[in-house]
Amino acid sequence: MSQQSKSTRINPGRRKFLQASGLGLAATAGGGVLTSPSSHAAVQTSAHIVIVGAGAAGLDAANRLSRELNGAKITIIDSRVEHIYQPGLTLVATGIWKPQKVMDQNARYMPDGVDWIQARVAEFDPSANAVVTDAGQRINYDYLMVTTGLQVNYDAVEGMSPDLIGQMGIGCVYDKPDYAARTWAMIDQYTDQGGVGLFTRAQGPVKCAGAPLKVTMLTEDLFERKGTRDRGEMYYTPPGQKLFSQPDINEFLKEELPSRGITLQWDHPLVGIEPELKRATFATPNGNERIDYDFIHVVPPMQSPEPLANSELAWQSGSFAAGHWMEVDQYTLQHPRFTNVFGSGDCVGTPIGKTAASVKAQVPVAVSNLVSSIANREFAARYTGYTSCPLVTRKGEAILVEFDYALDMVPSFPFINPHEKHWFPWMLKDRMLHSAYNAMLRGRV
Amino acid sequence: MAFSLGGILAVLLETFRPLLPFFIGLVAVDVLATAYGLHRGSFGHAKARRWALIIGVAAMVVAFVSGPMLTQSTFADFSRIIDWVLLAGMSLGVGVAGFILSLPLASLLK
Ligand SMILES: Cc1cc2nc3c(=O)[nH]c(=O)nc-3n(C[C@H](O)[C@H](O)[C@H](O)COP(=O)(O)OP(=O)(O)OC[C@H]3O[C@@H](n4cnc5c(N)ncnc54)[C@H](O)[C@@H]3O)c2cc1C
Repeated sequence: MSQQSKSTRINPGRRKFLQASGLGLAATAGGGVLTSPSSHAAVQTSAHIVIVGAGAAGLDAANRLSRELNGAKITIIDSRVEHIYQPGLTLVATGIWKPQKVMDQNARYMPDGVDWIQARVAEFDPSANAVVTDAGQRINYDYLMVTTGLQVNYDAVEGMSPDLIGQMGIGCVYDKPDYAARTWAMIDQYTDQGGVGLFTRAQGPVKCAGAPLKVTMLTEDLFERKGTRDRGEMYYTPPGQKLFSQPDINEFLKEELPSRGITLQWDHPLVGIEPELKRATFATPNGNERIDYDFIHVVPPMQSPEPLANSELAWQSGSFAAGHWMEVDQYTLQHPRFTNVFGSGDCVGTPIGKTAASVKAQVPVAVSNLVSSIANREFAARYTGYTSCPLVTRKGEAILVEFDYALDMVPSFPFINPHEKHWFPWMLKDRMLHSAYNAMLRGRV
Repeated sequence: MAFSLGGILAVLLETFRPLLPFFIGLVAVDVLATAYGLHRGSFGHAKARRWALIIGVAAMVVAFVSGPMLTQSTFADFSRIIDWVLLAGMSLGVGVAGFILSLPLASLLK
């Protein structure tokens, strides 16, 4: 690609004023706690830190690093100017939110003094401590933070392409507001007309493993609300014998879905669709099975973005090698072979993760350990595998599921039962989590 | 995952960020009205407290009744006692804020 990279040093005056005035207010109320999020004083350094990817993890890391380091040169690389609040896509795809609600701008969260190179990294060269952009610019670093998110492999489902979303009964909640809005058009039509609905789930890790389930349950709820439930024959087709990694929630779902007339078709990984015929192919243990549908929710397999997948930073063996996820120590988030490289967010290969909630827990760990590396201190922070999913079961009702590597429930609010569906977790999803996400982008939670 | 007080305030700040100019204006007017009331010795007189209380209670009731609607749901979705308790708590917070913010202005009433 010949795209010219653009470098911007961020210094938006009005934003600074709003931040200062707002933080002033909040800090007054909280005794100034907002201004001192770190237990250490800022570390003096002249190191050059490069962050690849300005999504949820990249912006959070940039904000934290710029506060925790003094004198460092921080560069963030991402060509994307708009920011998508991805956890809201499920609500867009089911008609509850308008697409505009999830659209934002990266510039609003970019910290002052950080160099933003508007390009994509085409090559990682960790042996030479360098990355190369798609404009051919070679950028050397002392420390690297990889936060590229993941890539949705539409091609891995034969016959599927993102252009098909919103046509011929095809929906896919991943991974853009436009796709989610087109999915809503299909779900709206399906819940009017009925027929066979296939709700698929890719093999391997996907971002927000709860999203395909939420789309399924919200579609069923919509049938009920429209009074057309008897028209829809719904199937949920997991690729294996599990619905969710947390065992209690897995058991809950194994009862909940059938109790709502959603048939579970175990061991049904989707491998192909024939859009014109409205026919899907699943590679079951008994061979390929073709099922005709009126609506299909396609969840394609996912992997780390190609430049990362093709680099030495990816896992070279083991279960994470299949998705080419970035190799990190699952507790310190440091690369074991390139120790000046850290990672967080969807791109890393850890047993649990791939949610914004994991980002919230991972980034402070990765940043703290990177800063400790610079300061020659022992690593003090560990990622416990924390992840969370407000599992929306109907409009107005959800379960706030939070767990860790041990798959134990670790509720943030002791008064919310992580096994019960009710209104309050829904209220959090609909009203509060977007604010929590934005605060995270500013490195404040 | 534990939320610090700073984290909770940061989340609240993001929630109200679009309304921040309004709140800053309101607080500025309140500060001026408080200074004026203290200067005149009329801050928080009985009538002002009564009016502020009425406004606070009204804000609390409105928050309670509109809470579910603001989240595109209804009271029928309240399946646990904790839903009612938390909505009541949040409404109480709105009511107290209404009382505190309206008291300086109500103190200007004769
Ligand atoms: C439908 C849906 C529902 C979800 N629901 C929830 C939920 O309810 N709760 C929850 O916690 N999480 C949820 N998530 C997951 C959450 O949104 C992600 O886990 C989170 O956004 C990951 O952050 P990230 O920074 O790793 O990746 P992203 O936010 O995707 O950002 C990655 C960034 O890297 C950039 N990038 C990629 N490649 C390159 C390159 N080569 N060079 C430079 N830049 C690059 C991209 O442009 C992008 O800006 C959901 C996601 C989806 C899609």
